[in-house]
Amino acid sequence: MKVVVGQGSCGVATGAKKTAAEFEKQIKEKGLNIVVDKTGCIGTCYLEPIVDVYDDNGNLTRYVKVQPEIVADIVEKHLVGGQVAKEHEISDVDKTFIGKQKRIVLRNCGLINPENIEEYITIGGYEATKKVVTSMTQDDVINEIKVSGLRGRGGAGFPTWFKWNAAKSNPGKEKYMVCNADEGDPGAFMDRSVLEGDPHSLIEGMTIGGFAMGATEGVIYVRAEYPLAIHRLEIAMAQAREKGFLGKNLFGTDFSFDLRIKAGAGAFVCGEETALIASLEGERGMPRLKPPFPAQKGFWQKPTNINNVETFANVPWIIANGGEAFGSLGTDKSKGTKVFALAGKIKKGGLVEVPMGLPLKDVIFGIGDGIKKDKAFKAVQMGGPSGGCIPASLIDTPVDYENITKTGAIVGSGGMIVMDETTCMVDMARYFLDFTRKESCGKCNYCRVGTKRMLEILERITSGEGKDGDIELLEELAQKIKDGSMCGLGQTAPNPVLTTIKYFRNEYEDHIYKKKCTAHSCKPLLTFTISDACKGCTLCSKRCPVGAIKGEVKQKHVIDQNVCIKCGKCEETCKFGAIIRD
Amino acid sequence: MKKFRLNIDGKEVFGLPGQTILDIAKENDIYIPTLCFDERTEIYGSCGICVVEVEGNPKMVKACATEIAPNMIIKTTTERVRESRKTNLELLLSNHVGDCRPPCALACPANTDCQGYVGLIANGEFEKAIELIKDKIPLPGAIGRVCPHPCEDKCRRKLIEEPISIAWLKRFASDMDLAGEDPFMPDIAAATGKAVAIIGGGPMGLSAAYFLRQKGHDITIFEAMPKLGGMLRYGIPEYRLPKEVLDEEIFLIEKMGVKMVTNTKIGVDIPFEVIRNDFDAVLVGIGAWISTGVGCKGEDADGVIGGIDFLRKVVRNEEIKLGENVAIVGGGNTAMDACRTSVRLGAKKVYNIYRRTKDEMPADMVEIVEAEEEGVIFKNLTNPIEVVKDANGHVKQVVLQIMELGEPDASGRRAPRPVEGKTETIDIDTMILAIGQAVDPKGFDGLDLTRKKAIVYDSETFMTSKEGVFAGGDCGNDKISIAVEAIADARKASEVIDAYLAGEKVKYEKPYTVERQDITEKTFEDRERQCRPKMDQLEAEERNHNFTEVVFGYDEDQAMADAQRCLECGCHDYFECKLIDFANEYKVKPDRFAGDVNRIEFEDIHPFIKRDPNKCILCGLCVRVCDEVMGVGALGLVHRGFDTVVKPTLEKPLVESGCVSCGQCVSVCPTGALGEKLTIAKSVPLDTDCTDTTCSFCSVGCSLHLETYGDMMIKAVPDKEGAVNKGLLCGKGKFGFDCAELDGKLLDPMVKKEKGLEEVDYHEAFVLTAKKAQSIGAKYGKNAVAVAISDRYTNEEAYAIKKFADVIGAKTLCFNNRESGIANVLGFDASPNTIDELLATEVILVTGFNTVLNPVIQIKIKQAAQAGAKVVLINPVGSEQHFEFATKVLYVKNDLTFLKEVAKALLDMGKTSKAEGFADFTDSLAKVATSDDAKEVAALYGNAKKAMIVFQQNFVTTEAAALIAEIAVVSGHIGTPRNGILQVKAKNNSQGLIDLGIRAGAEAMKGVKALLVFGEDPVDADLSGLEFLMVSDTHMTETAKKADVILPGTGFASTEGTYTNTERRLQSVQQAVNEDVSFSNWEIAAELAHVFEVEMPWDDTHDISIEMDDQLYKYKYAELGEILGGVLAPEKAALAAVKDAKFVNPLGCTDNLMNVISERLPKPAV
Repeated sequence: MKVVVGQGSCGVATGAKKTAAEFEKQIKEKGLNIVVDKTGCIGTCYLEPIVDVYDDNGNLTRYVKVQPEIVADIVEKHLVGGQVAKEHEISDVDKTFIGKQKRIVLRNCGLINPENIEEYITIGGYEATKKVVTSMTQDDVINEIKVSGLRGRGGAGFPTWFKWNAAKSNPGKEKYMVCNADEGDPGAFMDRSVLEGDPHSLIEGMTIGGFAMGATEGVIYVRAEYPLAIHRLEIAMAQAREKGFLGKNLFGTDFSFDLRIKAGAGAFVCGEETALIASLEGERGMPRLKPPFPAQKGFWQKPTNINNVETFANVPWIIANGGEAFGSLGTDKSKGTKVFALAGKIKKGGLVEVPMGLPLKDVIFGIGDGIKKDKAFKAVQMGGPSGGCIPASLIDTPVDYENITKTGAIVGSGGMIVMDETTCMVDMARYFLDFTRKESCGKCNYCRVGTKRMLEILERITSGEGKDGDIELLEELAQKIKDGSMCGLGQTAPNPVLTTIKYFRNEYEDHIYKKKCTAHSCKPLLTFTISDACKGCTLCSKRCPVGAIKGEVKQKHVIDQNVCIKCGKCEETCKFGAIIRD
Repeated sequence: MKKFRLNIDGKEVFGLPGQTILDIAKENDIYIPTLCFDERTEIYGSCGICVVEVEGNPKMVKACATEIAPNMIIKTTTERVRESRKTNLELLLSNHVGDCRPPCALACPANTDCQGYVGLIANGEFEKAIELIKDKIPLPGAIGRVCPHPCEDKCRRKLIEEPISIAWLKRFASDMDLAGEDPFMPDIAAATGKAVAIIGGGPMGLSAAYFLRQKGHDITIFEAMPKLGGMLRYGIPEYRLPKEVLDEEIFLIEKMGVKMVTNTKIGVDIPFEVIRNDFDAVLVGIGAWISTGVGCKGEDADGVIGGIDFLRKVVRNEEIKLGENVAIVGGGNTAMDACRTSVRLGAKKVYNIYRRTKDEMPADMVEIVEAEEEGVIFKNLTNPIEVVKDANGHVKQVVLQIMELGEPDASGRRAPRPVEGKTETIDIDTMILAIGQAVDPKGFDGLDLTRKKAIVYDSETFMTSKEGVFAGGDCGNDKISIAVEAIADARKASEVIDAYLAGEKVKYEKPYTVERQDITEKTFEDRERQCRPKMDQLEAEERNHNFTEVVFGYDEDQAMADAQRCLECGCHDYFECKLIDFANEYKVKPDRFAGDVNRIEFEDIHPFIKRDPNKCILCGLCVRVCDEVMGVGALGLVHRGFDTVVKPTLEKPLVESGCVSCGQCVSVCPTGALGEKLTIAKSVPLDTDCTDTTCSFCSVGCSLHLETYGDMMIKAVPDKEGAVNKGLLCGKGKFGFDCAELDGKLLDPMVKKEKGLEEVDYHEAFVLTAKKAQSIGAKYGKNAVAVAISDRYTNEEAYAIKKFADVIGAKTLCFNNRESGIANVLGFDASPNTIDELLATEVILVTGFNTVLNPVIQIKIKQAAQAGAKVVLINPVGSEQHFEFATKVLYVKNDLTFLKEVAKALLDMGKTSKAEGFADFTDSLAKVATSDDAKEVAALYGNAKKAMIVFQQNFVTTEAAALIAEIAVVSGHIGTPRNGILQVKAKNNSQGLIDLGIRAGAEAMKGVKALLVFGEDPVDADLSGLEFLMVSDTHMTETAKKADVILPGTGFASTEGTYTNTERRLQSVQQAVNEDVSFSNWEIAAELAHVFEVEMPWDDTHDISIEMDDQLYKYKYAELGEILGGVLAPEKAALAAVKDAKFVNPLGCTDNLMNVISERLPKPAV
């Protein structure tokens, strides 16, 4: 029997370490001969800490939300008694969260111990690398990837084989394979999940890519905010080196390849490949002009290929199962699966991996189980802060590169932030723009000043000071910023604004002309009043920080609108639902 | 390589693969604006101003970064491109804090460059000041006296105490000009054949004549009155504006060739139609000469007269019966003029009637105060409601309604309202109505009029309803105003008329400027209070009975002192700012993006570089040139997004950042974020003139653009096309260009007398010098007289001085000459190879090099390293250098041990030579044991196909230089391109002196009793045995202090000629300024020769040059910018046994100016 505690960052954040310690303690106390192991995130982050109990036949029982205080119960019933502790077991509904997915990238996440290479080898790990270096040519590999139709999962969706081939074709002895693990979109954590849960897949992917393009050195540029990922990568790399899977003469061939980690300092723009290269070289993380492309002149001016973690994680599977197997999944132009980070006002948030082309509705309602508190679905922001907003009316859109791009959003790295009727779309655009403009490197004037000016316009709209012409000014600026910026950050920063104007122009107009926020979200535009439901309990009056609420005990209270600062404390406080927000 | 054909803006052009669109556009004179491009740095592409459209590409592309492709069709000026550039500029300007122009200049209706001329006066440049004033104000003497000076109202100095006396300073400059022999006259363009009639000779008409005449048009002014001047003559009393001043200024305009027809009223004497037919354009400026009344009962009485009518009568000496009691109605300057004139005409009681209080009076406060001093009785808060007539219908009394002030009206002024039933009646003999004026448009049939009968014209084109008829000043658009407003109209209308005459239609548009709105008293709270100098004027009792001018005007000291108070508000880089040029070109309206501005606190303590990051547009040029061109990296970008800012490294003060004070950052900054701190008395933004010349400090010979204004040297900018420097420059060249003009400059000759040095006239100094040299020569023999010539001097100057030395049989020397070690080996004292050969050689041995002496050479070596050369630095311990780019850096003992080891190692490698003395050379090295380092260096150098050695002649010893040459000879690295030696001499013209035959150094001083020193300060030389010493220099040097005679010398900016740089390149020196010194350097030599009755028949340096070329074969066919003689190979190398000596022994520089700037430059942080 074996107990496996999910210890990705999401598990650790919910207390998985304490849970694991509690298991160890109790197992020791009880004198049981049961190993407590760890694994990465399985994707159902909303159920963490997750504990899997394997019986001696390998059968799995999954317990969810296992806080230390219920460990004793599971130990007693299951580990000692041999009976499933039903009340803590995962529900059938939650099982479907995983069940409806097709897991290639996340195939090992949550199943193996990422700190133990043997487990990875047991399930066929490094077979793909062996196959490549011992029996394939560079062109064979590139062709296999071409057949698979794999496109870069970092956001742009550029065909991976093409980049590898370009890097291979450019002359030079020194070439570099770089992994972009600078995952920066708010709410996106698929790369972290792979790094923490299945680091060897990445190592294999990079080694295979390195072989294909002719690189002997790889660099993993990972954000310093992912200490657990770095830790597990370091362990995995050391173990791989020990096994001879990294380093000189892999599998006894002439091919040598090794990796090193570079911790990034946390600038969002370093996810842009030229800025990433600048940062790798010790310069300020600022994008450079393309051309020359990294495949021509990249790291230290040498041919360089950059892919993100998710892209690489697909590679060993493709080699092992064949490009056609991968290509059979997804749509005509968008093949394979894609991992999405489902977040926001969704019942079941977490990582989901689905074949490309699945309708948006199936992801949000089928897997995510719909909107929290069963409120109305309003829109989903796709592709992170550089992405765009897809309204409820387009919920049948198939999730693939082409169809998502048509809506004005992008697949991006796979962020999906679900919004309900209480989300103000202007404020949402403001939020994302605030993120990107802070992360602008400051090089291009349009991005540096333009996004700031757009933000100021949005701020004045959400604070009720919008002016006639503001929407047009936003549209003009947005277009010019897209046109005039050097890198993807600036070229996409206006997307949330443009898509919300496209689909929710009326909300902008309401803010500007009617001074109303129909989602009742923008505080300066709200009025709080007290209805007849008021019982005169005086609680709101006591909580009001500015003394705006007057009224006698057991009499209906009144809010002085001139004094009210619209903080909403009264609404939170009222037990009778008498506070009306409008 | 096959060229691509492309089309830019319809023009078929060609380019090579790899070139960018911007490259091709530049080559073909197609203008694409850019703010962040510099060809010396990597393409950066941040500003986005250079966007263009390429046919078939849906996106715009950056011209600087887009490589051309075959058959590209490029459009650089489409609407989309212009819109993108415009918005881009608007965004930049929305976060750009500063004052493009000073508030004074913006407040002046004529946009006179007040800060400019005030600054010029502060610098003592009075002639340039009047020239600048007359660019906008043709009648500065008059305007300086009568203008109500809106400029001063906006002067920020008043936030401290009082505004600058801008108007009085204008008057001062004008008075100086008119008092001079040769008052300023503008240049007049070639005749255009177009004729313009100007109707009305007031400030508007005269000014328009002045401006239009400059453009070459034929101008005739028709004036109805007997004399010109308009209201300046007939509306302003003599005590404020003496007619003499006005007459002189009108005379100057007449002298320009303007025809002036007086006593001729259009519509009466000549029909308007005739004028229209006879002239190509007509400008109507007839003013507003009708006095308007108050509309009260009895106003038609005898003895009631209009204010301007009254003043005019006084000017014309017409009969006026004022009586004893006079009431003047109105609160403006005309009313005050009438009051004060009435006092002067002897009225007993002069009342001023005005319906508000003194605070609301439109007149100048000084006029009100002076009127009161002169006895005018102010009846404020009264309004005439009835004029009471006597039996003859003559005014007897006036009934005044008592008023009070109500609430402020729309204009902010408190409206007067009658106090019911309260009146006052005063007895008067005359009532003068100075309420307002109106236009008399009679005779101008066919012109549209306003309701008030003024002439209608378009406010942007100044055109009336009749084609070709223009109008401005008081007669048009109901805009009756002050004189300077009329002058402003004249200038704007002149531009439009000039264009009209050329067949173009233009509109006058107000230029865009960035202005600061955040300046308050607090901004200046740490400024010292310093009131304007008091101006002398007549006391009330001295002036109230006559028409003598009341105020006397400033003298020079007062004017300069007041001008020094200027706060220098306007941006110093206005005249070279690309941002403001583009802003106007693209007609920006940045207000639509008004929002937060990124306010940055910063230090500004660098002695030469002025920083204001609030004006920075983050083009990154400063950061990039500092890093990529200079290899210094003293600046960097800090923070992200909107908060991004350029800061010195590690956010330290700039002086501590590793900055080498080269000023490259300043030269490339497209805005005023980085600028030079000027050494002139008052920094002032000026549209400078530019002279191309050569730096006068070290022997590299960097080409400079020397920017000057009048005789002021403003700044030096490296020439990107410079043959040697290609845009490089060090701190000495950048900031030392005006050292010859620094404080303490010698202006008069001096002779040592009993009490020490005394100023004398030139004759005495010349004769004394000549006679002393002669008598000492006679006494001790010719060897006792020596002439030292500075290697700072041009070839021509040095030639002239040497020729004089030959006249008196004296020997010549230069204390800066060190005996050449390579001459002993190679047979010539000249660098065999040139600087740029370094960039293409394989190995460079730098043996004895101190970067601060020749920073540009260090950069060249660094560039060579970047291009792939292996650099080895061998310096003695104690002379450590920043040579991080070097393959190997060795610090050795300060003797020849290591160089000998290298030589020995080369011999051990089998290197040999057929040169004479090879055996002695080999023998002397026989016992030398070679270290591993020496072997390594020898291997690297000896095995290279091409290798060069660099050393500084006055840094290493003669013996070391000889050994270096021997190493080159033995290894075979000599005498072919990119294969040899770069000998770096000390000074800009050290090589020239050698070529002229001035080859001796301090050693020649033996036995010298009389020494004449030209431009040297040999502080280390022992001059105690001298019986006579003459020194010519720009400043009182240590040597000059010991002199018996001192003659003022001049610097490089006031002379013409040539230098020969260390690589034997003949370089041009051009005159940029005149120095305030009577004799130039060569003229001193000629004058001294003249005492010996030897005439030097030259008019200028050109004559010297011709003679010199005849005397010096090498220079005869030399071309400017070219190397004399190409790569030099030794005809017969001579080796010798190696002696023991020091490795380096720096020779102190004898150029005082170079020592001064070296001392002033901050020492770079280590």
